[in-house]
Amino acid sequence: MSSSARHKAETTSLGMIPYLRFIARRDRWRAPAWVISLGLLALYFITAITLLMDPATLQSMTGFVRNPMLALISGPGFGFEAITVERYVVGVYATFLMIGTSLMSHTTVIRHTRAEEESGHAELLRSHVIGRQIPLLAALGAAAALNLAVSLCIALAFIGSVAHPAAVPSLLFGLSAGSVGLFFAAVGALTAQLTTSARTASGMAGTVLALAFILRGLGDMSTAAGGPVGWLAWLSPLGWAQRTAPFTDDHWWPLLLNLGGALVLAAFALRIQSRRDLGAGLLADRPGRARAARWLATPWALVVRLQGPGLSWWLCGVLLGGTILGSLTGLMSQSITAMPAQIALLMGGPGAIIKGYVGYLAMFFAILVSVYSLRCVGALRGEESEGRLEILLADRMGRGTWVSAWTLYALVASGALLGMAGLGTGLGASFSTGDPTLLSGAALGHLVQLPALWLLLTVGVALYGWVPRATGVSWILYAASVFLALFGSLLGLEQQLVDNSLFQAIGQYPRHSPASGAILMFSMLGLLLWAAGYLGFRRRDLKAA
Amino acid sequence: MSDIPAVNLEQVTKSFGRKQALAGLSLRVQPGEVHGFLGPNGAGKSTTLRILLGLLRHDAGTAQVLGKDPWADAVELHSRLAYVPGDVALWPNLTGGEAIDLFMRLRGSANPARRDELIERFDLDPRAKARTYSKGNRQKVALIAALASEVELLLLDEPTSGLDPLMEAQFQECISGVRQQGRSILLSSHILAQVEALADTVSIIRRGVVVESGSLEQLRHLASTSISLRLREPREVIEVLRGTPGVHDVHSREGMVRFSADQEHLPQIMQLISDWGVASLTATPPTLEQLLLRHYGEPGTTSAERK
Ligand SMILES: Nc1ncnc2c1ncn2[C@@H]1O[C@H](COP(=O)(O)OP(=O)(O)OP(=O)(O)O)[C@@H](O)[C@H]1O
Ligand SMILES: [Mg+2]
Repeated sequence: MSSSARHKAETTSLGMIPYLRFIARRDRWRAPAWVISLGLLALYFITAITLLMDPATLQSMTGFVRNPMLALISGPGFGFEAITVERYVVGVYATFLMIGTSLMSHTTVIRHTRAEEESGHAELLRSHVIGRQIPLLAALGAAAALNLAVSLCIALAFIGSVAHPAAVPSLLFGLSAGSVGLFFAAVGALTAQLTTSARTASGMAGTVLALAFILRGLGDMSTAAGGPVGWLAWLSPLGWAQRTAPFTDDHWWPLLLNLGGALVLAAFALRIQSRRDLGAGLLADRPGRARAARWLATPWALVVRLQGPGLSWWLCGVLLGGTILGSLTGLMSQSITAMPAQIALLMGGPGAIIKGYVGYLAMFFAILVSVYSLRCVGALRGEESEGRLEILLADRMGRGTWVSAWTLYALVASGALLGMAGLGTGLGASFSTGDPTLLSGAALGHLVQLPALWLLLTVGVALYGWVPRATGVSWILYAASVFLALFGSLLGLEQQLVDNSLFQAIGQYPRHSPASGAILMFSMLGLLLWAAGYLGFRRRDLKAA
Repeated sequence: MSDIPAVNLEQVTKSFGRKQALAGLSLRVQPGEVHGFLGPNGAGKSTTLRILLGLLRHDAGTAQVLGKDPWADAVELHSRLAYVPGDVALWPNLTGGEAIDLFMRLRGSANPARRDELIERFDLDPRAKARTYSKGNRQKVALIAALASEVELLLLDEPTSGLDPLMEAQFQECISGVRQQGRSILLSSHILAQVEALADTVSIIRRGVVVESGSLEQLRHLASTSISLRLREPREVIEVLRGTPGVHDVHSREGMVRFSADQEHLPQIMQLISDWGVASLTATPPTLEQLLLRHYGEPGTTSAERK
């Protein structure tokens, strides 16, 4: 290496260590939260299955797990002919951990690259002695470290669990989840180069993930049904990782596919990065409208303009998700007798499985859509903390109107999402069972959950009105309700306690008749909280950026 | 126009936790005047403007904007005033044109012809996403929306801190036009030339109180004039000058004596000098900069203490 080349190499790597430290400092809560939650999720899966299923039940579940519909959602499933707890967990739940690592990875990379450029922080940073590639390299390094930590955590959760599985396949399983994360870290690095907006970059990476899921799902479903397009699964990083088949074949080489894919994508991203301007994307911003649309004249319209594009993606997502899960209804009713009694009871037991499953999905989507509701409240706070509210309030817009516009938007959008999920579930359910009444049952069953979401989001609004920094505390209420609703009865908690969950209190229509008392109480409480937020926001100082 | 002051603050205080931002601030903007608002960083200018907009609520004292309470009557008042913050934040995926229209419509006094004229004048591309705008361009968006509205009062917080000199000239021209229409303007700024060119009246704020307020003429009067003189024959005048009331900073170099003289003592000082056989004399009135530095530099003094 000539001395000038060496000099250049040294300067381009300058700042790596400080930048990594900077990332560690910024993510000191976020990173452990991801690692620990994914580790706990793995621990939960293997513990619950070990405790719930004796060998006989497990044996009787093979019909369920080898069904093409389940292959669509969960994966190829290896070794089911001689099923064990480990093989069951790997076959059914691996996908969820892999989706988790993918989300963790691409958001981490985008957060430290494109988002920093968009906010202008990168400009100041880059003016210091720091190589052009450093932020991207460091973000990739951080994501790799996170994935390694998650892999080890999953492996340890397995090894330490009551199932006592072998250590080496456990490690392989952890690494297979981590390898998908690594691949999507590189996907995030690439999409961050393509567009100038961090949100769009995340959306693009999310789309790649969805595509990977669908390709793998279609391929594995085809294989399970003896169809001709099994090779589709080989186009998906999720498919590669699942072909490690831990506890069955224990292949290590598929990890290399994800590793190699990640390296190729990362190299590509670095190449674009080194050629493009700071803040610029590969896809240039198209010019937009010179004038606002005529309807963009009120606070309400502004909220719709800001949130609408994201909402339409959500609507498509829940419709698709509802349809897929709903179309499992027929399969559920056929395999109900094979299921562990506790699980079957959660969904109404053998006598009422169809309505029970549809009602369970309503609760599931209420939990999912709540994320949207709470994110609306977060966006409301963002308008203030990011300094855009000041100039709006200096116009003739009342503070009360502003809070109300967001609150009502969140309510209507949550209702629309629940309705759309219900439509999907209903369509899938009636199609798979041939019972058309399930359509209205599912739609109604989803919509009756709306008061729970309303209460949750107005808690956020009330907090925002009085103590804006505490707006996020409503997520704690959410987490507690989710925990009770999903795991409460499985863990044998008192039913009374479980019914405190916002997602349990209303009941799962069409299996239960909706609890009108809870509906009324949630609605009224929500109104009160809204009023409280409204009053609080009218009397407090604006928090300037 | 009526003679209700456009802005009237009396003994206004505001604290953020233990930090006192305004400590009894009084300020009056007469209808139809351009009022320059000057002061060092952190003096409380933006805080004052935010109180006038009802974004912050003051702790004590009285505040009136166009004769109304800025907190209680905020919404009603906001159709009669427009605001340009120093740091304009916009929605990254709305275009500048959309943001301008939105602001104008929310204020309720849209004048589309004026909007187009101003966009032309400030050379803004209304089709670009706000994400791609420079600081100056974001500021133009807020300026255009404010100037295109037919309002009685403009509250401008360092409105041109990101504009280039050409745009600065456009801005000054626009403000002159606004003044001719009899509207009132409160202009917070660090650009002294801008204030000198535009303001009828100036208030200087320091540590949350107004330490000086008046027309530029009056302020000049309060400050001292720099005088340098050369005598026909060398004389021992230094000590005499040092003992004279109203004289500061006396020093001499190569036969040239320089000092500054308070405006109020100027007649007596001139009397004294006239006996010395003066060969040449120059008197320079204080620049705005000197006026300001007097206040920015000295820790914690007000004009009252100095007298
Ligand atoms: N939300 C807040 N919380 C705490 N302190 C604040 C807050 N807003 C302003 N301050 C403090 O109040 C004082 C006045 O601030 P202000 O922004 O009004 O100054 P300014 O005169 O506009 O300064 P500049 O010329 O730098 O814009 C400062 O010391 C500032 O730190
Ligand atoms: Mg300021």
